[in-house]
Amino acid sequence: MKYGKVGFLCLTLLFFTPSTGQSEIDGTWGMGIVANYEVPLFALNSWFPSGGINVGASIVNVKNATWTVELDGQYTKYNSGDLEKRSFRFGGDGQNYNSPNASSEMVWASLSANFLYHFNQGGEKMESGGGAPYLLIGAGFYHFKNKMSGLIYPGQSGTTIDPNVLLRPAEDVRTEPGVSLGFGIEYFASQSVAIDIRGQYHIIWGETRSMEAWGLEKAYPFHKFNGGARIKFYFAN
Amino acid sequence: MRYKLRLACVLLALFGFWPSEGMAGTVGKINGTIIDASGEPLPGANVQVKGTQRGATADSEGYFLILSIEPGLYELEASLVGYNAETLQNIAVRADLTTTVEFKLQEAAVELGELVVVAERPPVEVDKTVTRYVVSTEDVENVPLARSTAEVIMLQPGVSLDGNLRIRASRVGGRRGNNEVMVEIDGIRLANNDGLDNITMSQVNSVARSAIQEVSVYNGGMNAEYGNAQGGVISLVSRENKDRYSGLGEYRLTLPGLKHWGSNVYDSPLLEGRPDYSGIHSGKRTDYDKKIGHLFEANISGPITPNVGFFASGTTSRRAPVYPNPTNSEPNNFNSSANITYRPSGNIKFKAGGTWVYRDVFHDGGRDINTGFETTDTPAGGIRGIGQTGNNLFLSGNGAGKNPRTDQVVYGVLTHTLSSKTFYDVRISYQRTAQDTSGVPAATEDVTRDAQGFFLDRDIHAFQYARRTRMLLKADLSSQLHKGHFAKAGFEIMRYDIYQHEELFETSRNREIRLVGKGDPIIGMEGFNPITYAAYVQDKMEFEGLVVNLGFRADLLDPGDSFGRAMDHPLWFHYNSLTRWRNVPIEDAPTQKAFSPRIGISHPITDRSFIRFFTGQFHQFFDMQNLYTRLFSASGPDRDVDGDGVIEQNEIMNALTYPLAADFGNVNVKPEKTTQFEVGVEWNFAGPYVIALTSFYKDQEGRQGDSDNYVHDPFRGKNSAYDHGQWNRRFSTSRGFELSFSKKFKDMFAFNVAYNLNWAKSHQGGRRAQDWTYVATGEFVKSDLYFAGVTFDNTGQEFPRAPTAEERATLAALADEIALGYKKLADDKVPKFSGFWEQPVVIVPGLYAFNVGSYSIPSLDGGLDRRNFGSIQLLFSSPPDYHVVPLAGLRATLVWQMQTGSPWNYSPPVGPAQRRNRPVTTVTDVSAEKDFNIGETALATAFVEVRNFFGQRDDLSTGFPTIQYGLLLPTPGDSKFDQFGDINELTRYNDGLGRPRSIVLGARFKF
Repeated sequence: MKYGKVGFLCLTLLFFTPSTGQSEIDGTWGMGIVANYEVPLFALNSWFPSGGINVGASIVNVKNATWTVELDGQYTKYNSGDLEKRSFRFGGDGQNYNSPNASSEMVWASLSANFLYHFNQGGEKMESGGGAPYLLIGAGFYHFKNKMSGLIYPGQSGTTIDPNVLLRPAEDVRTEPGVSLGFGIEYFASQSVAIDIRGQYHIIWGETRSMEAWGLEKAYPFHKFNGGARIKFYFAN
Repeated sequence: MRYKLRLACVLLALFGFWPSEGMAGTVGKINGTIIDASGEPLPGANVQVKGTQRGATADSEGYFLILSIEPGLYELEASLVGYNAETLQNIAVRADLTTTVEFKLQEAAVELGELVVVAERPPVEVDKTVTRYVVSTEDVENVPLARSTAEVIMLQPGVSLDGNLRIRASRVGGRRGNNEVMVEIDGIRLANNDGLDNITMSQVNSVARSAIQEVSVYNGGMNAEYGNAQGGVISLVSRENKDRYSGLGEYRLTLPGLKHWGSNVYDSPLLEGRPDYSGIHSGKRTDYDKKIGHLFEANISGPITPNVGFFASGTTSRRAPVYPNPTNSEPNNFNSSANITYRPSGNIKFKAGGTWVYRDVFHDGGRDINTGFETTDTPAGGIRGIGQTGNNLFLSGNGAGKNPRTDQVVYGVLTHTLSSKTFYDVRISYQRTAQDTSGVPAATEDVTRDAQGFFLDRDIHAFQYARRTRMLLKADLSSQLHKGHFAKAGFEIMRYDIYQHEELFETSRNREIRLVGKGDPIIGMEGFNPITYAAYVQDKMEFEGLVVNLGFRADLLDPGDSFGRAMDHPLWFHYNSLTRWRNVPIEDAPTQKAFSPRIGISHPITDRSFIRFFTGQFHQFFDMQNLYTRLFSASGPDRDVDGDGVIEQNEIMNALTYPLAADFGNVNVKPEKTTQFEVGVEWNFAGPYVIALTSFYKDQEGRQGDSDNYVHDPFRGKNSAYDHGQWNRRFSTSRGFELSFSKKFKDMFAFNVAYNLNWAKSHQGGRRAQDWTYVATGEFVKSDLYFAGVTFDNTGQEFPRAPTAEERATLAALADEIALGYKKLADDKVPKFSGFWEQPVVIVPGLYAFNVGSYSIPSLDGGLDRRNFGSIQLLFSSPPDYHVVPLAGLRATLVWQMQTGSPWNYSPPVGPAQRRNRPVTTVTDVSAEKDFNIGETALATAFVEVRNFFGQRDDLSTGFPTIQYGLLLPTPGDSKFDQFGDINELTRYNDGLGRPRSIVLGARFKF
């Protein structure tokens, strides 16, 4: 249902978007919506190996045939972190225990500026059926919240574990800068609508706490990769 | 028809600037060539520095040289009969560097009129031989978030962000003995090693941010003219003005808000179990979160006569305290600087200046005077604050008075240009730092509490008078001997007067007296007068594609008369009370010498990239307080030794003996030594973008440390006397990388990214590695150097007592027995006693000292301290006529700072111990300011700043549960967390980064 609404919104925007003259691409403004699949890498991957869906929107300004600048906002959620399935070793009896009600999730919201360098002077940029591959470099701030709860307290005394003694819910909440590198290709379905297929690698100066009883070390800095598509709508200059 | 066509070009002209070190520390030079359109030199052409009386004439090769130019932006005009004049604008001159320009004059027949070209500062200085970062007036204005000179310096690569201005792990200001960075103002060295905390930091900030002409930060490698420092140089050049009257006034208001993380101290575990404190004596909550802060800064400058100009600046602040304190604000403080410049001719300049810093300091009656205004570590009943785990929170005042401090520097600089290739500078300076207690009670009252257990106000006799004066004479001769040789030589003499008298009587029994000076408070005291001498010579050689900066420096310290070899003296343990100390021999202390060669090499790869290498040695004399200080303490009542029923002054002093674990000076220590290597590259790879990478290795030997000395005396027994002396005990290494990526200001935008990764190790070892035990044999006991007990005169004065012949024979036999006992321990290979016979130190025949614990081979197996820290600065600045009106005249900055937590050793349940770092702390500050023109020459600016924009709360805690179960996850049922919601109450506050969000509103007016 949610995706249906997004699709409807895209089509509506597509319908009302005016066309753009090819000779006037410099300075053209536009906007876009994006959907990606995102996978954390390295240490953060051990926390959230499945990654999550990433959605967002961007404001686009075509500086010239080669360079495009985007202001990009994105939202991501990683559900069901690996911590939910992990066990710890209880010193009282030497056995491993899971926390059946454990919850682990991470939410991201970012705002960044991306600079796109199109090869071949943009090729047939902004011309119906045209397009060009590009490289991207970006920088911005990434807000994240790493939440965990429902974990049985592993440091209990005695020889029998009490599954009702839980650690308090905890959060790592920070807003940190990050940079990204990407590549993609932008294909113009019409003079005002383009489909942009992109892969983007992010490094963020973030840190999670360590949960070493469950074998999770702190992740610092964060690495993640997302790939997907975005639809861009350009307005007449 | 003759006419002039003024051609104003705003070009991004890249004139080949060829900057290099080798100048006097406060001026730069300009050189270049004057050629015609065909490239032929124009001998006889004149070059004039507009607005000054300085200029030069081109030689037969068209080459010219103008020495001794103050840092700043200049216009240069070249002219020659028959050619159109050409003016170069925006020529930047920097201290210690050479600016190279090129004029290309057109023949007058072309009749272009005067050509005006706006130059741009080069992105890289291709023959820099050391790591040096320069901040100009314009740079300071572009980062309004930096509110003080120290904060400006903190944003340079390699400088730590923790508020201590550490450069590659060497501190600028800090506690005694930690100042390894040299600071100078207008070429005047400021004392960095004569005691009193934070002298240097105070003087760094004495020059207001708006009074800076230029700040240079040398991160490690230093030319030979800089010495008695190991960690780098901060060189400040103050602004001058003789052209027109101008001024600045700025006010900053910090809005009320949370001052620290965690609960309000009145709702915290500090008061756990005593919730009903209202109504007790003065028991009112201080609403410290609602306190606002103020900061004022102003300067004024202008001409007095056509040849004389002045510049004066001052700042004062009334910041809100983080925790409650006696006045709920910052005590009175004022930083100021002023100078007058007189130029009787183009070749002579005289500059007289000074700084004056005044700061009221709360005296809490504790061992360490509070240099700030937080009162967190204070004696019971001394001063309002969170000291004594909250039991001081309801005190009404300040039981130990105040301890105001004044730092003054006055100086004069004469610069005389003898010829177009030679000039000299002579500098004299008088510096004084004084700290004197006011309102100190005569006697200490007993500690009392109210019904809830809170301390009541009481008087504490805590007195301090500390005085440091320094007189400096310095002269430098600089000469461009040859086109490829710029030589410089000079000397520096600094005479000190060091005096200190502290009396801290925390209770009627627990008392301390610290003395720095000859004599004692009863018989009178006078200061010590050490003198340092230094001489250096250096030559900067410029070859084709290679620049070599070679220098040599000699330093000498004459400590003057002192207590001789107090720590090694055979009688030292007989002098272990304050009255007996009167008889310690005064001797001419040994002179300490150091020689420091240095070489820096730069190899320009292109005109936009270069590689540089530096290696050299640096020596620094111990902090002089560590040469002379004496600390005596008492923990019992005074004794009426002469039985006259009166406790006389001498009887009070008798009870004050060498304390446990405290400072005791030693004039025999050698200077600390650092050897440093560094390699760096800088590359202006595109447009205004520059990337720079420097790696360094620093090895330090003979660093200050303290050792304990014990005596096993046949009369008094084992460990019967004790002192705690200063020695060259520690050594360390550090290495790291400094990465900088910047975009110079262009297209309304600039940024600078600095990242540093450092590894440091420190350990102690060698002969003075650990504690030492002194053992006397019978031979020593039989000598007339041995005493047993004391006698008294009728004033209560103690004197060592010579044993009788019979006593001496008995004690000698006992001494031999004790010594044989140690020998047996050594023969049995008991590790900690192995040093006894292997390498005993013979103090005098029959008296041996040996290393207790381990006669360790120097080792760097101590914990590795690996940290990274960095910052990002972004600047957006639009011109006043920018077409998007709301953005016109707008300046916005963002500064992000990051540092890793300090290291600690983590022992996991399984496996070897690991080295871990506490969590990273980061903070993001933003500011925006908007200019409003007022008439033709005045400018008003309104601004807003937000510190810790994201309100980020960093965790600083550590401990087993932290790592095992997650940071700051309290164990279930933690009562403090249940009640207060914070298990790390009062440990969250970090003096560097990580304070809660604060908002500052301000206004600035300039004319």
